[in-house]
Amino acid sequence: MDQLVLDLAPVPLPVFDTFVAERNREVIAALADPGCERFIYLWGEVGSGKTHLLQAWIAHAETLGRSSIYLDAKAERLPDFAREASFIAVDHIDDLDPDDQITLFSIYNSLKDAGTGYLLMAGRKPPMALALRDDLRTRLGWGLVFEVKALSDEDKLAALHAHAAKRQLAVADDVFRYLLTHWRRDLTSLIAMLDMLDRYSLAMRRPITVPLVKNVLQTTRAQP
Amino acid sequence: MLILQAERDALLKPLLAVTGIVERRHTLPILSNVLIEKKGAEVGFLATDLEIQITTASTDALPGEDFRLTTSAKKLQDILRAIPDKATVTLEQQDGRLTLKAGKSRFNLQTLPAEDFPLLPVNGTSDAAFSLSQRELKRLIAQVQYAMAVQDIRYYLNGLLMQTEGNQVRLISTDGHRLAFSSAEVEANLPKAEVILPRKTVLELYKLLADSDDPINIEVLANQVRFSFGTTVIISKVVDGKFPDYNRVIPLDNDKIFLIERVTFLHALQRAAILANEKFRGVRLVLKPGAMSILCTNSEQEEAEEELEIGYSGGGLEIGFNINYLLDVLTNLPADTLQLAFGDGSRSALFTIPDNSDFKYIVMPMRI
Repeated sequence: MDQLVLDLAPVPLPVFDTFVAERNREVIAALADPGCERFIYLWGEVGSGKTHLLQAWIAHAETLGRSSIYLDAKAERLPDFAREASFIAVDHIDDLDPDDQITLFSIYNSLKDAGTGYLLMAGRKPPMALALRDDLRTRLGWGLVFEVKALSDEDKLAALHAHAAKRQLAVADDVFRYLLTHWRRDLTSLIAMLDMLDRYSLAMRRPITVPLVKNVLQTTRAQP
Repeated sequence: MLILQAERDALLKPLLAVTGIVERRHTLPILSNVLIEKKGAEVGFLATDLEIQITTASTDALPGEDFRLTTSAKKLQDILRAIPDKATVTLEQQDGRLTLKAGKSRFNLQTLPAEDFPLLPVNGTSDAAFSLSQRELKRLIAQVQYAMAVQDIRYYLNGLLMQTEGNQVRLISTDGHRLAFSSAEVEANLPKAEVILPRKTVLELYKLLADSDDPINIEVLANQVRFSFGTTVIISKVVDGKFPDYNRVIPLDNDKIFLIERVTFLHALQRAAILANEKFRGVRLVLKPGAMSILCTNSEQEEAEEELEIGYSGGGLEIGFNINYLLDVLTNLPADTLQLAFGDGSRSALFTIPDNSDFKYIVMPMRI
């Protein structure tokens, strides 16, 4: 029988402050600056932090009191009413289906015509390498384009430490180093694993140590 | 030089009140000592572990010269305990040694200079201060202290949240598996404040509180709390951290609700617990209209089953719990009847006292 645990700590929402920005200062500066270009496209490899930036940008819009919407092309269809928001973030645009590409193109044009509103998009490839409609692809290239550079190992360690501190967890550095060498290396997976270790250690009443991590990794790998 | 003469209990009682927090082993040797200080007719005792400091005074007026000294708390306590209770004890001090005599017994103890004894500085004035009877505080603590975590890596769980707001004082504890909440009204208009009292402070305070109407004063200071009652003062540091928002874990839509006699339920669980698995401590509760069954099995495939009649007409439910978590709340709650509210087998259960919002216990199930 497994003890279930209380959902005590809300999952912290991504904000710019928790983004390890050593190599991506320009991106953060552009996203946080309202006088900046209204159309921005971010690209970078999986786990480089694009989704975090999009969600942090949405949170930033909310602190400004502006209406905002986050859309994940991988998980949902793009609703047409999205154009009514002032801050529109569209994630995973590599996965837009043909109809949604038309919707996004139309949203782009209406923002352009209206002269207000911000559109932030993210994908895995630079604009010209995207398998999208030509008209949409060229529009992506018209705005600002940033490559979100992948984090170094030290950046990842810093991000893990920051995440643990936010959750008020005391975890030794060797645990994170072990995770980096024995678990998936992208930050999304690493953070998800830390959250899982948090719940596991709470349920089992054990501190988060390398032996506990080994234990969890073994059972995680054993499951398909 | 003779410094003090007193009946054994006049020294032993106040000594015991402060020595509970003295750690057996400490890097600072003087912390295993107790500071004894005589000023006028009053003899004061003080002990600390640098996190908590307790002072108390002998209530009997004792003649003799003023003095200050420190000596081993544990040894002094053992000696006083071992001599006959009405015996007269005399203390003599000479060349840094303390001699204790009682009848034909004689003990020569080491001392360390009182000036070297570390005292906790008191941090400024209080943010919130209130008082209530010792009995009331003891009752409030009893209802929640068992749910505090023990040596968790989440430091904020190893303690008790004390919240003040208006005329309300709330105590909340959780170890992540269950959460206990108790609240009371006090005669004060308190600012919104909260501190996490360390586990050790809570247990020590609980031990020292009397079942009496005598008041205890509580003051929230900067990173400290001060409890004053009778001649005793406890100053404690507080846990640095943010306690989780307990409101988000209180289940509001549990619809399988019924009342149960506390003692009947407790006794049935105590019997079933005999055959609960020693490691996992699992118990299964099976609800159906009119009855609740309690089932325990252990690793040797032995089984215990209890059935209780309840006034329940909702849907069926089978849910598992750590039986200790149920025994804890049933043992520590001074109510005749409890209201239990369940959702489904993977959601938390809510224990309350009918028509009373001053107590809540939320417990997560075990997956069966």
